[in-house]
Amino acid sequence: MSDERAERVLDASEAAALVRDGMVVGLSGFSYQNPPMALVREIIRRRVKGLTIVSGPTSGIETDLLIGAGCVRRAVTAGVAFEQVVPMAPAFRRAAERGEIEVWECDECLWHLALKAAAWGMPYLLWRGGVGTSIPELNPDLEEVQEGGRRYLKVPARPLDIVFLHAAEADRFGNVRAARQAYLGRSFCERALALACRGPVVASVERLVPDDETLGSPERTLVRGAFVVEAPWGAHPGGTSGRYAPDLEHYAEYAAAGEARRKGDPQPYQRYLERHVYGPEDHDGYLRTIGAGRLEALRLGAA
Amino acid sequence: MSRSTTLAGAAARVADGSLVTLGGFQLNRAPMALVFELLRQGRKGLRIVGPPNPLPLDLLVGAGAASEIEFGFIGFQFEDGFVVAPQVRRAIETGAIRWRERDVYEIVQGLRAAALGLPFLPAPGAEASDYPRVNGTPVVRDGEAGGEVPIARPIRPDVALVHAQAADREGNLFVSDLFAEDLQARASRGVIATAETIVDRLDRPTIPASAVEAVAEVRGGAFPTSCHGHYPYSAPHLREYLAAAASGSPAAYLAKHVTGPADHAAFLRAAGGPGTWQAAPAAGRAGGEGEAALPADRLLVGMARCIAEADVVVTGVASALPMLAVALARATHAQHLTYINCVGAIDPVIARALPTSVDVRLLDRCKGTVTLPDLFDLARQGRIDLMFFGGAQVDAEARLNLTCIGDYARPRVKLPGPAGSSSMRAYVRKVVVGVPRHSTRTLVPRVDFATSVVSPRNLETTVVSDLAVLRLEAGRLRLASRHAGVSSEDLKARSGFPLEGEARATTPEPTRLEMAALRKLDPDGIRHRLA
Repeated sequence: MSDERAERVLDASEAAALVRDGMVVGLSGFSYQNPPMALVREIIRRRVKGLTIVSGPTSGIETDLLIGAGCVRRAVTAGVAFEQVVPMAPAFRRAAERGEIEVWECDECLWHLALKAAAWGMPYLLWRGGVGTSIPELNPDLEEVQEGGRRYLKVPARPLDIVFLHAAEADRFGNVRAARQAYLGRSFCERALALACRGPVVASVERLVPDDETLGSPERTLVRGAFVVEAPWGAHPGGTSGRYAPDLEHYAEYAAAGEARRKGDPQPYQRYLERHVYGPEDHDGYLRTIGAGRLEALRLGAA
Repeated sequence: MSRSTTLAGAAARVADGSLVTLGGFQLNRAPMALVFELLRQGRKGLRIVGPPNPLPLDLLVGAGAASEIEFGFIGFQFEDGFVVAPQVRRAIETGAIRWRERDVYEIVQGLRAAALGLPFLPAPGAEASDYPRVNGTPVVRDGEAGGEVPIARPIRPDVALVHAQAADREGNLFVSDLFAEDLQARASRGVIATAETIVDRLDRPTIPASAVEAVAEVRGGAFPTSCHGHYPYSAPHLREYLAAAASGSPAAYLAKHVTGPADHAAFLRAAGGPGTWQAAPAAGRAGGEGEAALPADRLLVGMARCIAEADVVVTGVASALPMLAVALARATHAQHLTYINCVGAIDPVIARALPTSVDVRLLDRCKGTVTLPDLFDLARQGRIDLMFFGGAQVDAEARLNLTCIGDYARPRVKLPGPAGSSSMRAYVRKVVVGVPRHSTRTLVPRVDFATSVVSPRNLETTVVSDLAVLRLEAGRLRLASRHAGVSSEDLKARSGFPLEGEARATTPEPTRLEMAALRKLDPDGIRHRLA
């Protein structure tokens, strides 16, 4: 194999510059796992506006932080939450309750089918789940139809303009891979998002690996042809499957700030943004706000 | 709960008359031990549907165990060349079996509809071919886009027969070369499996135990087809099978190998299989400097030159020559191409020409994997730039025939079928048709059956033969160039329709670089036999 193929390595600011106001943006992550946080913080630093966010089936801080920073017009989600830290993510809750964002509310099946329709090149897919519930009232584009005497919802395809995801490793040619140690989390939603994307897919990864490592275990390749950004600890405060655990203390700190703002005191959330997002010039700067010792304590076993 | 049982016990769960789908793909990981055991147990009236899996299908039809078959492709390519499953072919040509042929994508969409519990899924692509006419393909009105869209109704097999690399006692299956078995498992009422080995606990199941009814440990359970990581397909055994089948007396083969041996282990001992897994062959040394180019060289170089620098290129079944053309392009002018082989390998290393394009050893050194169903989606999304096609007939309007000579329902010659070409061709930008032997038998005024036709989404359609390069312009194939040493009289005599166009243009001869790369990739000259 020639080593002269196009390299697809970007730095975080080049990657974030691919986002334009109003785009439909897919973000990886399932609860605390694999959110592309280094890229999300870089997107926020660029003060992008009016995004539609399609994040993991149950999403977390990657979506909440973008909403909290005012980048989002619309969220397509089956829930934004931090599990045991706080049942509903604070910025999402505040913006939805105040009508500052639209929410395309769905269950995880509808979320998945909308992406699947885009991936399969179909205008829509039929689905029986959700018939008779209030979901179609919340989302008028979920039209009910009859087929063979049965009622179905027409789930419209949800093509994405750009996808950001985080994974353990990639080669310089854009083959994005799960850690060998990861099984759960190997593919929470990365493939579903990437296949539904009509534009670039950008992956931040813990490390770049030599070409030959990719060749030996193709089953770990989640996505090919992605732009790649090397960003160690790039999911923090989320975890990266097979590499490190989520930083739940950090989640609690963020949630407290968000809850304070929801209840009328904007200062703690503003301080959070200044300290962890706007203050640091880049991802390395962010990591200094956390501290190497604290990060190392999150690492899973021997890599 | 243990789902572990014996081979006989597993096969006994398949009732007469069942709708059965078979795991595996082409000469890879077919559930042969289960099929042999079904024959030993005298199963009748089976109905078979699924991805291209010609050997078990041929055995089931030849032994009279299958009464109805639905398929997209019944051919395979191996060391001795290209073969159409002989007993299936004979049964169709003599009207001895109920059969239906359609694009593999329609079968995939039917399985997906069953897996999702939906009344249908759209299955567009083949609408301009002759298949809707012969199959009465159902359509729905598409309210948004207007017009009609072909659909696939659910295909819900009673059972999927799968051979896996490993299983655990609970019935979890591990498959290292997944083709479509995950989909077949979800679409079917249950999976009956064999596995090379049964372990206490699998930590990375490919197919979950909840879908599996029974699993039996059968070493060599896919022999004489391959089992990735365990053993290759057996060309000698295929040769023996084909000889018996061609002689019109498969009974001798069945008596010797199927009903004769007491069990699968006895069959393996008698058949001398399975062999051991070996890595794909390494690159050859460039040699034969200065020798003149032969027709097969010009064919391959012409095909390779159709590939542009950064194209995403796909080859389908029976595409050993196109795969070599891809390797040649990668070694010369198109280092940045992305190659997807339908065995599921993305950017496999191809160090050396192989007698078949669906060699699972390609999965040992590649950049990623893709299942068969996902490959169709890539085409529909417009993510495939170029695909190679073939045809027993190519006509003046670049229609291709892979279906039949003579009448469809009762063909004089049954050809292998479309595989995925009817639907894929509709969605790729560049169509390249390789014609190894330019003749009036192949280049005909009008095909007997239009397996695939030109689509408005095709930007270029090129036919490369051993004599010339033809391009589709304004709906007709025109001569782009003649290869060196081919006279216009020769070309005219060997073409079944008039070729307007560049009467004087000559194809540039293969360069020294191209010839050196080709000889290094194919030092044994497989290309000359394949062409």
